[in-house]
Amino acid sequence: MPEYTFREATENDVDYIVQAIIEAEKSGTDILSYSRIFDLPEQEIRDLFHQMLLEGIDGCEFSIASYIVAVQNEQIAGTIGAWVENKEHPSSLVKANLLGYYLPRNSLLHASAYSTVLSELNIDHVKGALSFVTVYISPEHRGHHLFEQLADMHIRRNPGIRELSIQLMSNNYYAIKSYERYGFEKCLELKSSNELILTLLPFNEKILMNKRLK
Amino acid sequence: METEEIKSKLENIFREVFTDPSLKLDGGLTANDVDGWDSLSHMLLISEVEKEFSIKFRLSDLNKMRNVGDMMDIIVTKL
Repeated sequence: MPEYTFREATENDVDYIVQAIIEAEKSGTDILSYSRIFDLPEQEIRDLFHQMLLEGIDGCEFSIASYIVAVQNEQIAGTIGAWVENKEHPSSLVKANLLGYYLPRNSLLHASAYSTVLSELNIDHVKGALSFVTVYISPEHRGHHLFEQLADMHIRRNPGIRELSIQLMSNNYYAIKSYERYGFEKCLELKSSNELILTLLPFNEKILMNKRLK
Repeated sequence: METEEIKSKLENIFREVFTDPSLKLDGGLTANDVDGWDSLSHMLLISEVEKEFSIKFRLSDLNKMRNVGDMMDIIVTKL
């Protein structure tokens, strides 16, 4: 089995993390929701993510501090972004502050037309839980149990945590199976029958999975 | 601009963004208290506030805001 080491991400890893966020968002499709919703080309979205990650704001998926990376031969093999969801101040607002600061106003106005349909699949992060958001393993490193090892490391650096949560699109079958093997169970499923949703998001069904820790 | 005038303008913005004509603002109001205050509506809210008052929040300003009272305090410093 190849030798992997695990460490907290640094600013030097930002290109890989941007790629990880993009791939996780696409959920195996070609649809990048940020690009569709804010009417911006993928490269501009990548540049925005890059800038937001370097702001050093903690507590959302655009925080380098949220990421742990697996490394082999000095190359990153995979990463998980996770944080403990604040009970008073939701991470969705931390993320919104970053996005709103960087996105042009025209993009925000474009997105406002989709507010109602997007809310059909909105799932709040579970307060107080360790919330896994971006999970990405490079294709050539899959099958080496990196998800489990990265998840274990996130748990170790958050002693006292009692619940893990993760939300993802229901079309991500392999990921769902992998999370179930780790002990996650589906606890909420949302489906939108609005045809517009499939022009904005990779799929029209979303699930929330959780795992209680002893 | 007087505090009451700021509050009144803010209240109009909140009512429009959250499509709730009866929404009443007080300093302690947070995202947990308002239906539909999600990430997208939050971005629109901030953008509308900046436009109405002709100001631009710094990222550090935005991250300090925990309720409407915080938002009003920061607006006052920028007028």
